[in-house]
Amino acid sequence: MGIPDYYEFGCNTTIVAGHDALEQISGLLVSMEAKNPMVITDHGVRRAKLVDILLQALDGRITVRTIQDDVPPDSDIKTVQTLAAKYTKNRCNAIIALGGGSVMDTAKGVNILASHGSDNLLAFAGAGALHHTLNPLVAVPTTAGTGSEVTRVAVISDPDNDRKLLFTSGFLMPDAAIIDARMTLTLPSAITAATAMDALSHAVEACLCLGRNPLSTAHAHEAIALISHHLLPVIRNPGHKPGRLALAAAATLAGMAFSNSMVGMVHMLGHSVGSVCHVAHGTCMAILLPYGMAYNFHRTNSQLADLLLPMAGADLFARTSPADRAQKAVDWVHQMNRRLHQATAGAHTVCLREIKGPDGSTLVPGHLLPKIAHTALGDGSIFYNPEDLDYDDCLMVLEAAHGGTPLDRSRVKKG
Amino acid sequence: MMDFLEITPGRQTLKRWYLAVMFRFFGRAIQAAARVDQPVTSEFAAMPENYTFCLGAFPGGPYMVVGKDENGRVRYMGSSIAHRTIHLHLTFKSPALLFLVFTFRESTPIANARNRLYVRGDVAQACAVMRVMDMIQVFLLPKFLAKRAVKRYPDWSVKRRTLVRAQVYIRTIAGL
Amino acid sequence: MNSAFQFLCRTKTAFGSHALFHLSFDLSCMNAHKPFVITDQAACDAGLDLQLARAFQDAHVPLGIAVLEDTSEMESLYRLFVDKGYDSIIVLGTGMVVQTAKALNLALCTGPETLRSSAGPRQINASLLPLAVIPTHPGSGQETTGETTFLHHVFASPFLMPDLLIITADTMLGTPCDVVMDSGLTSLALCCEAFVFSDNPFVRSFAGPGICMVMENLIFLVQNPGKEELLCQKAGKDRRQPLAQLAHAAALSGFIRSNVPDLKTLQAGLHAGEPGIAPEAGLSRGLCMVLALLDMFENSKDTSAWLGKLLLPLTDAQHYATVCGTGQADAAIQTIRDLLQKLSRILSKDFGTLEQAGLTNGQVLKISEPPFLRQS
Repeated sequence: MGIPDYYEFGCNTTIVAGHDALEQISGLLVSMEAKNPMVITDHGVRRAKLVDILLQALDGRITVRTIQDDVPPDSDIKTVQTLAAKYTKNRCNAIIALGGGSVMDTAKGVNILASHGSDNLLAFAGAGALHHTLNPLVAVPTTAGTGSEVTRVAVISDPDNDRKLLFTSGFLMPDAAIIDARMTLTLPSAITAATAMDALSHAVEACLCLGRNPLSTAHAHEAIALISHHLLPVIRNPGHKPGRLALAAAATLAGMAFSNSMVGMVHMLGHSVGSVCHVAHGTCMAILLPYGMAYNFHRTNSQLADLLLPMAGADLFARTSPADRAQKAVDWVHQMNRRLHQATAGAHTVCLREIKGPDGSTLVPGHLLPKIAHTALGDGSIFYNPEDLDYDDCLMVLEAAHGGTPLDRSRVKKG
Repeated sequence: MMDFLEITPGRQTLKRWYLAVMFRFFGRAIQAAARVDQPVTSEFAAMPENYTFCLGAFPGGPYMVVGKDENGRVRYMGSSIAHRTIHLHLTFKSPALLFLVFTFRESTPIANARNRLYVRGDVAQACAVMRVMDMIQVFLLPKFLAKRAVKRYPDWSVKRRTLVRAQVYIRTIAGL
Repeated sequence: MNSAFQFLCRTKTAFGSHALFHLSFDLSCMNAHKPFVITDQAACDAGLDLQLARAFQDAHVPLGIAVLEDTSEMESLYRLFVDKGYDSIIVLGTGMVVQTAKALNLALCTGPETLRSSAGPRQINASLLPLAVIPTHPGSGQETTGETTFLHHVFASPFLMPDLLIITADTMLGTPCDVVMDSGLTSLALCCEAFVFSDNPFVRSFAGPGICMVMENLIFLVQNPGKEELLCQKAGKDRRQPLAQLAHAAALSGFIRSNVPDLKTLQAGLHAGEPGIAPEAGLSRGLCMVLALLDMFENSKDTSAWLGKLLLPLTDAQHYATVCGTGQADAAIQTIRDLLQKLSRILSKDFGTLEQAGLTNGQVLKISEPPFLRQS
C-alpha cells in the first residue's frame, strides 16, 4: 500500500442507500429540524416523474414549500440568485436537490446565499470563504455518475464575465445523500453507459492523480469493481434494481474518492470538449479515459497495474504478467467502451468524431481540436495530473481520441 | 490539580526573512522574464489589464504581489497586499508550508495536491500563473533543483537556456 | 450487495508530515480562532504541547493548554473554557483525554447538567464546537467514534465524532509493546469483521486500508519494542511511519464501530474486560477479539462470500489473485493465524484460546456465530 507523505480524506455526508431509501427522507429532514424544504430539480427529472416518487416518500411531517424545476444544464449565477430569492420568499429552511450535477451545484449555490441571507454569490467564491454550517441540504442523485452528492465543490458559471466560478468548502457537502435505485431505473441505456463511465473516470483518476491516497484508492477500487460487475448487465436489463443500486453506490464511492484526491487530464480535456462543443460530460469522459491512462502510463504504472484486479477480476489479473497489467487495464477500458457501443446499438460512442447531435451533425469536428486544447490549458484539473501537459500534448491526445486510434506513448514527453 | 497555561505563539522570524528575500528575487525574476521571454510575455498578454496576483501564506503573509500596471507592463509590486485590488490569491495554509516549497523539499504541484494551498480567483488565470511560475523556476534554478520543483523539466532551445536565461538573471539582479 | 445500507464519517483525517501546520487554517474555516488544548502529562513531558504551539506561529492564535490528570477535572475544564472565551477544542493525546474532551464538548453545547443526568441529552441535531484530535499513540478506535463515556454514562451521537483528526509521526510517543499489540489487534478484528459481514461497500472502503495498515506495521513494531522514536526516523526513509499508521488503523476502526451495529468482536473485547477474565489468563482485549474473529470465520467460511476477498487486504493483490477462489477463505484465516503465531514467537508467549481466557462455552458459542446466522 503506497502511503504518500501527506494526505487528507473526509466526507461528512450521511449516505443512505437502498432500493427504497427515499422512504427515509422525512426522518432525516425531521432530525435536521428542516420540515419546510424547497425542491430543486430540472425539467427532465420532472418529466421522468421522479418528483412524484419523492413527494410520495415524504410524510405528513414535511411540507414542501416550493418545487423549482428550471435549472439549466449548466448552472449559472442568475438561476442561483433567482432560486435563493424564492427560498427566502417561501420561508423554506432546507433544500432537497433532486437531479444530476447541475442541480446539485445550483442547490449548493442557493444554499450559500440562503444561509447567509445574501444575493452576492461572488463574495463566497474560492476556497475557505465559508465559515459556518449552511442550512440543511439533502441530495437525491438521479444519475449514477457525477458524485456531486458527496463533493465539497460547486462550479457555477458567470456568463456575463465568461468564466466559471469554483466554490470549495467542507460546508458545501450535502448533509445527506439518498441513493435510491428507483431514481435511475428509467435512464436510457446510452445515458446509463455514459454516466457509469463518468463514475469510472472519477475512480480511475482518483487512483492515478497526485492527490491519491490509500483511502481514496480503496473507495475507487470498490467503485470500479461494482461498475465492472454491473454495468453491462444493467444495460441489457435496465429494470434490474440491484444492479441499478450497485451503479448508484459506485458513483457515490467514486465521488468520495475523487473529491479527496481530485481528477486530472481526462476531466481537464473532457470539460473543454464539453464547453466548446456542448457534448454531454459522461460521453467525453468515456472516450478520453483510456487516453488519459495511456498518457500518464510512465508515471503511474504500478497504480494502473493495480486497477486491473477490480476491473477484470482475479483470474485475468493472475494470468497477466505483472509487466503487462498496466497496459491490460488501459485495454480493458477501451474494450468496455466497445462493448457498451454494441450493447447500446451504437448510441455509446468510442471516439470524438462519432459523437452526433440530435440532428445527426458531428458535434466535435476536427478543426475545433486546437480550440479545445487551448481551452483545456485553463482547467484546474491540470494541477493534479501526474504528468505535465502543454498545448501540443493536449492536441496530440485529442487527435488520437478524435480518430479512435491508440495513443502513441513514444510521443509523450517525459522530461 | 491540573496544570493550565496560555500561550500566544510568536513569529518565525528567520523563515519569514528567508521567504521575503526569496519572494523579492522571484518577483523581480517574473518581471524580468515578462520583458525578455516570449512564452512568459504571451501568458501575461492574455491576462486582463491591471491584472494582479499574489502568492503568500495564511493568515498574515509574507506575500509577493505581481501584476500588470496601467501601461500593461508586468511589475513586481512588493510584499504588501494592503490597499490593492488582488484578482488572484495563491495562498499556502501556513508560512511553514510555503517554506517547504521555497526550500525545494516539496514541489508546487505536490503541495497543491496535498491541499497545502488554495486558490481564490479565476481558475484559468491561476493555471497561467502556475505555468509562469514553473518557467521562472526553470530559469532561476539549477537543473537538479528545478527538476524537483516542476512536474516535467522542459526541453528548451539552446537560446532560451543560455541567452534568455542570462538576461533574466541580469535583469532580476538589477531590478529591471 | 445489501439492499439497504448507510454510512457516515463526519471526521476529516489529515495524515502525514507537516499535518499540524494545516490546523490553524482548518480551524479558521470553522470560525474557530481561540482553541482550548486538552492534553496529558506524557505529551507535555515529550514537549508535544510546545510543538503544537509552534504550528500556530504566525497565525496570531492564542492557545489555552490544560494538562489533564483524570476525568474528575471536568468542572474546572468547563469553567476555564467558558470564562476565557474559547471557541474550539484540540485534544493532544489518546484515550482518556479524548473521552473527556468529547464530554466537555457535549457539556458546553447542551449544558453542564447533561453529564450528570443518566438519561443523557436530548437528541443532538446540530454540530457541537469544532473538535480536533491529535493522537499520541495508537488507540482503541474510541477516539473517532460518535460515543463518549463519562462517569459510567454513555453518550452517543454522530456529532460527537471529531471534526478533524490529525495523525502524524511528529506527535507519536514511544509506546509499550503491549499497547501497540492491543491496538493493532483490536483494529484488525473490527476491520476484518466489518469487511466480511457488513455487506456495505462504504464500510469496506474504510476497513480495507485499516487491515493493510495493521498487517504492514504490527509485526515490525512488536519486533522492536521501546525503540519507536528510532524506528520512526528509520521508517521515514521509505516514507512509512509505523506507529502513525497503526494509529490511523485504530481511527478507521473507530469510524467502522460507529457505522456497523452489533460487532461481535467488540462484544468479545468487552467480555475480556470483565473482572476475572482475560487479563488474568494473559490475554489482552485485542487478542480476545482476534480469537473470537477466527472462531467466527471458521463457522462461516463456507457461506460468506466476502471472507475469501479478505485475503486481498490481508496480503496483496498478487497473492490474492494466485490463490484459487475456494481456497481464499482458508488462506485468509491462515494469514491471521500466522500473524498470531509470529507475535507469539516474538513475545515467547502462548496465546491460548478464549476458553482458557475465562470465557464460558456459552459466551464463546454466542460470539462465534456469524452475524447473518444470528439474524436468521
